[in-house]
Amino acid sequence: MSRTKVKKSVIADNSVSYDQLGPEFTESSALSGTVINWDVAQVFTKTLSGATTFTYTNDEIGMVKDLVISGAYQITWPTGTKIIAGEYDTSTENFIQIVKTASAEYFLSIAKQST
Amino acid sequence: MVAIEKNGTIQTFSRLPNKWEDEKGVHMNFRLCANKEDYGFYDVVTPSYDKVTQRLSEIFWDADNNVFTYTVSNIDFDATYTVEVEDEEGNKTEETKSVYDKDKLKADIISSVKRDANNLLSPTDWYSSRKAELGTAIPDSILADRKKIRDKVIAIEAEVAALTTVESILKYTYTFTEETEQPQ
Repeated sequence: MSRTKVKKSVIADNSVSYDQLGPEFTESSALSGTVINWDVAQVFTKTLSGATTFTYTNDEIGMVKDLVISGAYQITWPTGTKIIAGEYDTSTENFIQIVKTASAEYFLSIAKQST
Repeated sequence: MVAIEKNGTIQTFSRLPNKWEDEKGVHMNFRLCANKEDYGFYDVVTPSYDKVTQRLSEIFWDADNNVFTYTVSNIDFDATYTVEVEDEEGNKTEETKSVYDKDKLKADIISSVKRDANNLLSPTDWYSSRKAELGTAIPDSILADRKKIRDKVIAIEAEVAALTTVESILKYTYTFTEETEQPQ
């Protein structure tokens, strides 16, 4: 299959809209397992039912993922995760944002709905 | 209390940390983990001991019981140390001194008692000043209260003077408040 190199002349400035973006920017996925595939969605949701160890696939430097997680269980993140802000609240939904900043380095922050 | 041994160092925690990082990853809600032993955390067992007369050793791993614990040892109240003393002519001699100086310990108690008594007397000191300046009589109840405090100091001083062992001095306690019997 031949590949066509996309040049600036083909895609005009400011012409890529939300509709043209891939699922990694536009989809929300309910996680059934513990593997977070960074290619398949921007937002991942999960209600924990037990201690959970998350792993990543297709994670690339600069990517940002949003997780909405609830449940009062232990969570283990990959080595290299740096929790930079927030505390997980076991009583409500937690908005967790992860940025891959370098190879095996992830900055993670936690927030929740204000009361 | 729990503890973990990492790189030959035992780290203690009043309870499991809620965040923990190890070779398995970065753990959130770690306090909720089902089996802390899987991560190297074990209970700390502190044996009962007399805090005045005994000491705990450094914490160590008790492999037989799978806990971190301490051994208890008695404090040597007869322990001594030597100091080099130089006289006016420059002659040096060694002098043996007790680690636990009974006279010093007693003096510390008496000093504390007098400080406490002074704090109790000071709110009514102005009655004495008023009497000295104006001749106004001090109410009998105030006089009685102040006498009670002074008498207590005398009684405590006598009790402390009668103490003969370091242990009894270290364990000596006093109070200026009257103990009242609780109704049955």
